[in-house]
Amino acid sequence: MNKKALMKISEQVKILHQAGEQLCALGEAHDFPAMEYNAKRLLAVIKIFEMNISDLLEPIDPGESDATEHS
Amino acid sequence: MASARAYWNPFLETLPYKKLAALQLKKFQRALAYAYTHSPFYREKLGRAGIQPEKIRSYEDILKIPTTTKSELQAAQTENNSIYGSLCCVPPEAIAVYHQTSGTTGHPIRQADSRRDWEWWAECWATLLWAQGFRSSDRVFIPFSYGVFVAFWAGHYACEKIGCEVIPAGGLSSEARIDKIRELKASAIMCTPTYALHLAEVAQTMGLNPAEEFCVDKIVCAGEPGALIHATKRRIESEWGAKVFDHAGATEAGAWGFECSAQSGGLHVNEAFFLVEVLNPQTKEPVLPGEEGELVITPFDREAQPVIRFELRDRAMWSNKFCACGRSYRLLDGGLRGRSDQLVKVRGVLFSPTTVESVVRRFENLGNEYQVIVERVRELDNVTVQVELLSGGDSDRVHHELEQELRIATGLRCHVELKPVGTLPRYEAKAKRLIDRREQ
Repeated sequence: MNKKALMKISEQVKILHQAGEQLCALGEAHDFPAMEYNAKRLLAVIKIFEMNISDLLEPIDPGESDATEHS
Repeated sequence: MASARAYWNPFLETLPYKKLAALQLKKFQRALAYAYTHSPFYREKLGRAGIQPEKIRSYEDILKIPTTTKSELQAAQTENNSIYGSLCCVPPEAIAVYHQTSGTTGHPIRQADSRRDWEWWAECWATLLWAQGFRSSDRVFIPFSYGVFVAFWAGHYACEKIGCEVIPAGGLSSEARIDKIRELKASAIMCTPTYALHLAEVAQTMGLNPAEEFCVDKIVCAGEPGALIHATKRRIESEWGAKVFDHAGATEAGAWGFECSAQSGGLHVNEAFFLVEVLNPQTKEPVLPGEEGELVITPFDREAQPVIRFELRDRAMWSNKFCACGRSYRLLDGGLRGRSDQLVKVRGVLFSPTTVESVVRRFENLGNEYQVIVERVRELDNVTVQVELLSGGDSDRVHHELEQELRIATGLRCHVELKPVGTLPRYEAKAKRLIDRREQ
C-alpha cells in the first residue's frame, strides 16, 4: 500500500471522527444515552485508527489536548 | 522479510528506523505536553525541574526530564483523600476501568484507565498476539483470577479484537482448568511461566500428558521473566509440546514488549507506542547495545493516568541485531534480566533469583518450584536454595551438582535443600521466589 492509499484511509478516519462526535453531541442534546454512550465508545476505537495511521501521516500538534472524548 | 499479513500494523512495524525515531519524538512531545497541561502531578514535577514542554525538541532534550519513580506515584496517591491523587488527568466520569499494581514494593498504585486507554491496552496486546501467531482460528484459554490486577485482562480483549475464541477460565481449580483445556481443545494459553509449569504438573498428577494429549500449540507468558530464561522456556515447551512466547508489561505503563514468532532470543519493544530507554542506573545516561541498564518508559497515548519517563526497575540490554521477522522495532537481548528491586547484595555480591532459576530449571530430576532464602547467621549472609526432588532422582548427586552449578552461576556458596514434591508454595500469579529474612 502506498502513501496515497494511506492518505485515503486517513481521510475516512477523519470522517468517522466527525461523525462520532456529531452522534455523541446529538445523543447528549436529545437525552438519548444509547446514542451518546455508544458514540463515546466508537470515538475510543477511532482514536486507535488515528494511532495506527493518522499519527504516522500528519504532523502532531504538541499542544493538542486529545480530550475529545470528554467534550 | 515476512509477508505483510505477518504484522498487525505493517506500516508502523516496518517503518525505517529514522522515521520511527522521528515519530517517537513527536509522540513524546505530545505526551509530555498533555501530561503538563492535564496532570497536577506532572505540572508540579516538571515545573519544579524547570522543564517547559515546548523546549523539548530532541532525544538529548528528553534526557533532561527527570524520571518518575514508583514511590513518587505512591506518594501522589496518598497525599489526599482522592482515589487517584494528583496523577489523574480526566474527570471521574471519564474513567472506565480500575486496576492496581500488586504492591510487592510498597503501597499498590491505583491505575485509572479511560475508554480510550482500554482500547489502547487491547491494541498493544493485539500487536503482540498477532506477532506470536494468534489468529481468529485460535481458542485461547485464560486461567487467571480476573480480579483487580491487570494481568491478562487486556490479552482477553485483544483476543476478542483479533477474533479468537476466548475461554475465560477464572474461578476454577487447576484440575478443573486442565479438564477444560482438554475438553475444549484449547490451542493457546496465557499465564505466568510458573503457572504454566504448575498446570503441567497438575495434568501429570491426573495421569495426563499435555504434550501428547492436548492441542495447545502456543503459550504466552507474562508477569515474570521466565519465558526468556532458556532452561525455563525449554521446560515449559517440552511439558506442553507448545511454543512459549514472552511478553513484558506494567500496570503503570502498558503492554510494551513482546517476543515474536521468529524467536530471535529477545523482546521487541513496541516503539510506535512507547519510548523505552535503557539507562545506566547511576548516571541516568543511555547505555550502548550490549550493556546492561535499567528500563525507563514513556507510553505515548495514555490518557487518564499517563507516566513520563517511568522507572520500571527492570534490567535489560539492547541487542546489536535486528530480528529476522523484519520488524524495525528493536530487541532487548535475552528479554528482561531481572529486577533491580529483586537484586540483593549477599556477601558483597549482587544476587538475583533469576540466576538461580536458570540453573535449577536445567536439572531434569528437579520439580518446577524453587525458593531462595537469604538470612544472616552469626553476622554472615547465608543463601539457601530449596528445590523439590522428583522420585527416582539421586539425591546425593543432585545435591552436589546443584551446589556446584549455583556457585559457578552466582559466585556464591548456596546451601541446597532437597524437599519432597508438593511441599514448596504454588503460585497462580507472580511467584515470590526470594525471601530475604535479613530485613525482618
